[in-house]
Amino acid sequence: MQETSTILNLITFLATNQGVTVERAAQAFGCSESALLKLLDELMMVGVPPYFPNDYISCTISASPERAIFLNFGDHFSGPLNLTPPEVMALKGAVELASRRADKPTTEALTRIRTTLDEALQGRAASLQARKANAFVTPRQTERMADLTGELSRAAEERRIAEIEYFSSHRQNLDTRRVQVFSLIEAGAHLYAWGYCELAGATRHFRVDRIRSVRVLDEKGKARVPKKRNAGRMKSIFEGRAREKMVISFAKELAEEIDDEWRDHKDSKLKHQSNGRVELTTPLYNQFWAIGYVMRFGGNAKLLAPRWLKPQLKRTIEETLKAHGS
Amino acid sequence: VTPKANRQLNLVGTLLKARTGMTWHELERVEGYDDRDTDIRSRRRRLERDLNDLETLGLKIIREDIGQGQISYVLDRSSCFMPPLNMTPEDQLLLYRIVAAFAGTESGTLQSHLQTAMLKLQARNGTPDDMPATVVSHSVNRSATDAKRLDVIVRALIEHRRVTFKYRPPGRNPTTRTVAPYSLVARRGGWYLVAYDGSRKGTRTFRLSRIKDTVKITKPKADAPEFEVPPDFDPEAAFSSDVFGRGAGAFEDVRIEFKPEVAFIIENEFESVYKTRKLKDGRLELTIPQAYPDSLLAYLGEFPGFWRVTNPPELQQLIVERLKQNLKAVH
Repeated sequence: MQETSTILNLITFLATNQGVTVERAAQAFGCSESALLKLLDELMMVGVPPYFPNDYISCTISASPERAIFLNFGDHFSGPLNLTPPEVMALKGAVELASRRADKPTTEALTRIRTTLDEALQGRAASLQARKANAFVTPRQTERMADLTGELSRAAEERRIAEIEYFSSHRQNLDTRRVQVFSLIEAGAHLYAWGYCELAGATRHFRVDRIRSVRVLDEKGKARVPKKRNAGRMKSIFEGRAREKMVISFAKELAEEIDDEWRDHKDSKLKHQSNGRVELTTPLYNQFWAIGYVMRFGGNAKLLAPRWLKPQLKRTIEETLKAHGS
Repeated sequence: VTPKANRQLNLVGTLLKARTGMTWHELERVEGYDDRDTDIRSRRRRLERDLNDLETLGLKIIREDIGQGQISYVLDRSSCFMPPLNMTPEDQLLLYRIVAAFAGTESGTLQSHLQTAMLKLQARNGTPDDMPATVVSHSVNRSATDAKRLDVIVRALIEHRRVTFKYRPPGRNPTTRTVAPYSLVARRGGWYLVAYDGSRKGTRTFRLSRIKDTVKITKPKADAPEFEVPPDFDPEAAFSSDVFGRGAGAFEDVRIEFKPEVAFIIENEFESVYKTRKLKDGRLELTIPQAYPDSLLAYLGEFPGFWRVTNPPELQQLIVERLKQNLKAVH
């Protein structure tokens, strides 16, 4: 049925976009130009009785450099087919997922888009759209986060320098940086601004919730967008491939709980020792998460590796105790 | 083109061109149903199957009994084609960009349905002359391990198909569950599936990270939706978890003070979600209705020395004790 759907979509797209270029049509189809040309060959098989030559759909491609496509004998496919329920759900999902990060003007525009889609849909798709519940439910960002996202997106679109106040988790301090934002990237539960940082003299990723303020300057950025994004020390978060392993030894009392939590994780190993302790080896994606995780268990968890994380864990505990007057 | 696709395309074309009802005798001239050597009942069943497939694609076929055992098939043009969308060029561009923001990062069921939806929208309203570069990329995945399970669940969710998987609730043995997925709910810790469990006769919440092995669609070859979500279903009400946990053993009215340096980070994440209050010298007090100490510490570990639990005193004491033990274990 997928094939029927693809060719039907191609026919209706071409019938309503006569003269569209091969390049644009391939872009709209999300395929290569050669794949599109192959599909065009296939649609020539579609016809209606009594199957005279003019009863078969055909298409011609102009000899001009633009290679415009014209569909012949397909007038009865006078418009795009209605959206299917899964397409409606996917669109609803995308709008919902995008709206959690949206600033006020974008939220208003998304409301208008939802209304337009509601009005346009018919049949089963319409009844799904009218349903109270969303298929995807995401926590709304605070207004502050939405505004930050809006300003950073504007800076990226207009290629302007953004002056940001940023709290570095590594340095544990707040400083002001001038950044040419290239794009905003969602990874895990967080949104990151990727751009050229003048202070570092290199590209960096900034977690948006760690930004206190953004000021988009009139000044245009001069840095070129690198062809390949260097994730640097964020590589493990963006690519889901950790460079290091974390090893924690848990007390006998926790053995069952840890076994329960980790035994189904493919990349992790559990080693039960003769004294009842259990040793967990798991990829280290985020050092701050690791510190928080070890802190959960008090004296029942001992960090064994990586060794470089131990002083950081110790400092975190000491400083937190100090803040509590102990 | 496979014979089936070719046959279905010929059928659509014929029904569309006819504009009026067509009987079996007229439709059996269509290539794919004209193999007279085959039994007529088989060919008619083939037609019915194809018509059902076309309905799943969004086409509406009206079947009218015209007497003498004859049925007239009409393709309802008014509901087959997408009506004009009254969208400003700016809003249209925004919608295209949202779709592009997903399509650029991952491939999966969501993206493939978005791609065809986008194509139809462009066929209806035209392709934008100047599509600006996408500066935001969205991702559904919260973790690499969730990705495959999530894609199957997303497919089941948007195509209304049942799924089956092994699920291990905390402290209990895994059991096989077969459920109708109603909603995917994202929380700080990851995705949760809210689904109807027929054997338990009610909706249940499943944390994706607690699903063992793979998630499978129960009838992978079926095309038709298997269930409808009740119109009054409310995922937020059915969802049984919270950012820092809730339920038995959770501390209540938890208050944490943050130093001025990190106060804005808390506001960025929780302002208007939880109660926040600015204190003298720029400190910020965050009040959480319920929280488990484990979940709190996992979050607060990111702010060494910048926070202090002030309420309830039992929680403060527990955290200090735990940190002291932590310190001994590090030495």
